[in-house]
Amino acid sequence: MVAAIVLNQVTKRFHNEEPPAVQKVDLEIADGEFVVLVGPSGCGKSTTLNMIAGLEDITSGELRIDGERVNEWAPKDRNLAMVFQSYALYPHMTVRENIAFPLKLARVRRSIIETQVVDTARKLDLADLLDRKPATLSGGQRQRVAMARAIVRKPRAFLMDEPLSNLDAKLRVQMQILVSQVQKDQGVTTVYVTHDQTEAMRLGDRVVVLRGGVVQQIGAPQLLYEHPANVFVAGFIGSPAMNLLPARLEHAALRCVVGELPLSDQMRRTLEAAGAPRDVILGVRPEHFEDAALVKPGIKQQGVTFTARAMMVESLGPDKYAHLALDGEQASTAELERLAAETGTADVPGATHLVTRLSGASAATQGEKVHVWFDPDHVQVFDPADGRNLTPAPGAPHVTQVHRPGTGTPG
Amino acid sequence: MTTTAQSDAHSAAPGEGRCRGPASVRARSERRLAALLCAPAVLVILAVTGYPIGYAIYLSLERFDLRFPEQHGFIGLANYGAVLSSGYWWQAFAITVIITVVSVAIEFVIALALALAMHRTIIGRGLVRAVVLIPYSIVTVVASYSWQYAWTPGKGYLAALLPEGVAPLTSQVTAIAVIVLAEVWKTTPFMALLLLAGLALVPEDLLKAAAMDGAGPWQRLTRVILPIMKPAILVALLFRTLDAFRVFDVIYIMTRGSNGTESVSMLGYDNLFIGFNFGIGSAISVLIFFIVMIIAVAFVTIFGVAAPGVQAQERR
Amino acid sequence: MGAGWARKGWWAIADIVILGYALVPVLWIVSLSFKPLSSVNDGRFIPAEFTWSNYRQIFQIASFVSALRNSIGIALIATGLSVVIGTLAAYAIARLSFPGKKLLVGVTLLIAMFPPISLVTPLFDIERTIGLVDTWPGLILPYITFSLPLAIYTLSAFFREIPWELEKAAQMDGATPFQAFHSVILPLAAPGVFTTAILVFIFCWNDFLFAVSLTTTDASQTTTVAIAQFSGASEFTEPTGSISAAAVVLTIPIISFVLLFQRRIVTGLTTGAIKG
Repeated sequence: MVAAIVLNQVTKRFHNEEPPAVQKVDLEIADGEFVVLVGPSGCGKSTTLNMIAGLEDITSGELRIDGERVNEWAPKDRNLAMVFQSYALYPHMTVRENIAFPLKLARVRRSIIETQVVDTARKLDLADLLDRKPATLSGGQRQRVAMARAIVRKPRAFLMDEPLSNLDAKLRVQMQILVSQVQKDQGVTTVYVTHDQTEAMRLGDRVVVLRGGVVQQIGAPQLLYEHPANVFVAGFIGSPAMNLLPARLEHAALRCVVGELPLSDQMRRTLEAAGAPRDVILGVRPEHFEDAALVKPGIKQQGVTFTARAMMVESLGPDKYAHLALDGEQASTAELERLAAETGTADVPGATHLVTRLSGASAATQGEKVHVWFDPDHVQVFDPADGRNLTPAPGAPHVTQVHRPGTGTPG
Repeated sequence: MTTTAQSDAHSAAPGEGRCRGPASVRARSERRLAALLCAPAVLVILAVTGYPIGYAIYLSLERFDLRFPEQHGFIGLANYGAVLSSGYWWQAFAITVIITVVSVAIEFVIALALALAMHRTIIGRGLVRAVVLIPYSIVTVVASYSWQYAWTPGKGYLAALLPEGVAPLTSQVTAIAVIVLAEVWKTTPFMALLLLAGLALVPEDLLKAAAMDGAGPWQRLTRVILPIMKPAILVALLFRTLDAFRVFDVIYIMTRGSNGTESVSMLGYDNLFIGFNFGIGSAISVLIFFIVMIIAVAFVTIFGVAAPGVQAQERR
Repeated sequence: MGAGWARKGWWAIADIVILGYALVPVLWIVSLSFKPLSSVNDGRFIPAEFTWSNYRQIFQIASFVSALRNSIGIALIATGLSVVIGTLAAYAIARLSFPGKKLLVGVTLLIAMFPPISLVTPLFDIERTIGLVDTWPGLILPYITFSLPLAIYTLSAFFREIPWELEKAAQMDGATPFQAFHSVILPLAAPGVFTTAILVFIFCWNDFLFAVSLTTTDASQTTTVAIAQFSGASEFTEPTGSISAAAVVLTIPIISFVLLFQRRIVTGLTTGAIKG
C-alpha cells in the first residue's frame, strides 16, 4: 500500500548554511498513523513540519503525498490541515466563521457548510460557543476551535505544531486525550511536533527523535525506551533521565563506580562484535534500581548492590526518588557535555550522582546511606566517542532507521 | 541560528532566510508581488520628487531671474558663490540654527515632562492624552495667528502682561523668542508621543528594583529611565531637529520674516516667489537640502539612530 | 489616606497646567472670533461682548467658502489615494522579502525629512509647464507624495502587529495570497488604516507651504492660504475678527475628530514608534 506521506532525504538549508537545519530525513508515514517529531528546541522538527505543509521550501530531497511528488505544490493544494501553537484563530471572526473559513474558501455550498460546521463543533464540544469571538474563549476552547477548523475540511493529514505547549499542565493532559481520540475517530494521518518527550510517548504510534537536524531514531515509544539507538535518545526519552556512568570493559565484566557488573556471554559477544572500546558509557534507568532491603535474596544475588549516601530523597507517595552521591571519578566525555548543553540540564545524571527510583516503602532518608540494587540485564552500553548504543535491540522489528548522531550545533 | 523559525507569532516570514541561490518559484512570485505593490508608491514619489530634485539642482546652476529673462543661461556654481557670500544667507542660517537648537532643547524637556505625566497620571488620563493632541492637530497657520494676536500690543492678552508699548514682534531678539515659543507649543505634543512610546518600554520591575536599591525619583529618572529610552529619544530628536530646521509657517504668519527673523526657508521663499529669482532661490533650496541630509547622516552615524523601518526588518 | 490625597492633588495640578498649555491658545482664538470690531483691540482674554457677526461675515466671502470647498475636497482625495497606495506598499514592506527593501524604506524616510521648500521651486516650474498650477491635482499629488512616508511608516507598523501565523493558517486553509489579504489581514489592519487616514488628513488640511506656493486663485486655494490673505470686510477694517472666525471654523472639525478618536491616534503613533 502506498504510504500516505513519504520524506525522502529531505534537507533544508537556510542561506547556504552548514550544517543544514534539517539533514537528509527519511521517513515513511502510513495512512492513519500518528507520528510524533520530538527533540530539543532548534532540532529542526518545526522546520520539517513546515516543509511537509509547504510553508517552507525543500532545499533537496523529495516529499511525496500518496505517491505524488509535491515539493513544488502550494500549501493550499496539498490538502493538509495545520494546528498551530498559538492557535492562529482569526480574531475578527466568530467561532462559527473560523471553522467555516476553509470550506468557504473551497466554495462549498452554504447549506453544506452550515451542517458540517455544527457537526464538527458538536464533536469537539463547541456547540454553545459558535457565536463567540476567540478573544472571549479560554486556551483549551481556542485549541478545540483550531482543531475543529482543521477537521472540518477532512484533510489528507493533520499537521500539529506544538499545539498544547501554551496550556497549563492539567489541561494539557486532557487535551492530549482529546487529540488522541479525535485522531482515532477520524482515522486521519497525523504528524505532531512537540518538545515534550512524555507527550510524544503518550500520543505517538511512532516517535521520531531529532537532534541538530538529524534523525536519531524512529520507532514505537516502547522501542525508544527499551533500546535507545544512542546516548542522546537514551537521555532524552524517559523521565527522570537515564543515568549515564563512565565504565571500563574488563574481560568479563564492566567496572564502574557502583561496582562490577558481570557480563553474560551473549552480551560480551555483542559488545565485541560492535567494536566496543575499553572505556564505555553505562546507562541505567532510575526505575531499574531498588532498595536492596526490599529485594528478595534470590533476585538480589543476580544483580549488583552498592551503598551510597542519599543527597536528596523525594517522596512521591508510591515512589521515592533517591539522588545518590557517587564517590569516584567525575568523568564526563565530550558527548555527555554536548548532551547536557543541548537538553539544558546542568549535568547529566551519572557524572556526579545517580537518580534512583525506589519503592515508597523504602527506608531511605536524606543524608543517610542506603543500600541499592539494580539488575544489569537492563543496562545499555554506549560508545563514548559517537554515543551509539553498543547493545542494540535483538531482532528489532520496529526499528525503521537508526542514525549515527550528527554533530549538529544546538540552537 | 534557530531553525524553528515558526514557533512564535512574530516569527520570520517565509521569505526571510531564503538562500541566495537559485530562486524558488515562491521567492520569485513573492518578489513580483512586492514589486507590484510598491510600484504605485514608488512611481508617485519618484515623479513628484525625483525630477524636481534634479531640476532644482539644474536650476541652481543657471542664472534664471524672471526679472531679467534675457540673461538666462548656465553659470555653474556662481549662484552658490553669491548665496554663500551673502550676509542675508548667513544671518538666516544663524537664525535658523538658533531657533532649531533652542526650540528642540526646550521641547525635549517639556515633552519629557509631558510624557511622564501622560504615562503616570492618576486622574483624567484620557482627557490629558486627548487634550495634548490639540496643538498637534491645530492648523499651524491658526496657531500662529493665535500667538501673533496674543503678543500684539493692545490686542493681545499676553502683550497686556508686558510693560506698556513693548511689541515683542517688532524687535529681533524678542520676535525670535516668541517664534520659538510658538513652535515649541505646536510640536511638543508630537515629541511627547514619541517619548511616551519609549517610556512605555521601560520595565516597571526595573524601577521597582531601583527604588528598593535606594534610588530616589530623580536618580530613577536619570539612571534608569533615560538610558533605556535612548533610542526613542534619539529618534524624537532627529525628527524634530529636521523639522525645526525647516521652520516656515510660523515665521511667515507671525512676522513675514521682517525684523531680522528670516529663516533659511523664508529666504528661499522670498527669493523664489517674491524676487522671482529662480537661480538663487534654487541654490538656497539645494543648500537647505544638503544641510538637512548632513544632519540626518550625522545623527545616524554619530548617535546610531537607526531608520525605524530598517531596524525593524533586522529583528525578523 | 493623606498620601493618597496629596498625590492626587499634585496630579490634578499637573493636569490643569497641561490642559491650560494646550487649550489657552485655542480658547484665545475662539474668544477673538466672538469679539465685535469695537472691542477687538481691548486685549481682554474673555470678550466683553459676544457677537456672531464675524462668522456671518466670513461665510459671505466667496473666496473663503470656495477655499473651504477646496480644502475639504483636496484633503479627502489626497487622503484616500495616499492610504490606498500606502497600504499596498506597507504590506509589501512588512510581510514580503525582496531586494532593495531597505533602500526603499530609507528613501521614503529621507523624503519625509526633506525640506519641502527645496522642492517647491522646481515643482512650481514643472507644474507651470504641465499646466497643473492652481488646480486640485496640482496640490493632491504633492500631498500624496509627502504623506506617503508617514502613511507607510504607520501602516507597516500595524501590519507587523498582525501575527504571521494567521497568514500561514489562511494559506493552510486554502487561501490564495489575495484571499488571505482580503479576508484576514485587511479587517485586522482596519484600525491602522483608520488611524493613518486621520494622520494624513491632518497633514493635508494643515499644509501651508505647498498651498501658498502652488496656487494662485480661489480655484484651488485652500483655507490655510485664504486665512493668510484675509483683509477683512473692507480695506480699512481690522481683519482680526474675520481671521479668528475663519480659524475657528477650520479648527473645530479637526479637534472634534481628534478628540473623538484620540485613543486610536495615540496608539497609532506610539505603536509605530515602539516598533521602530
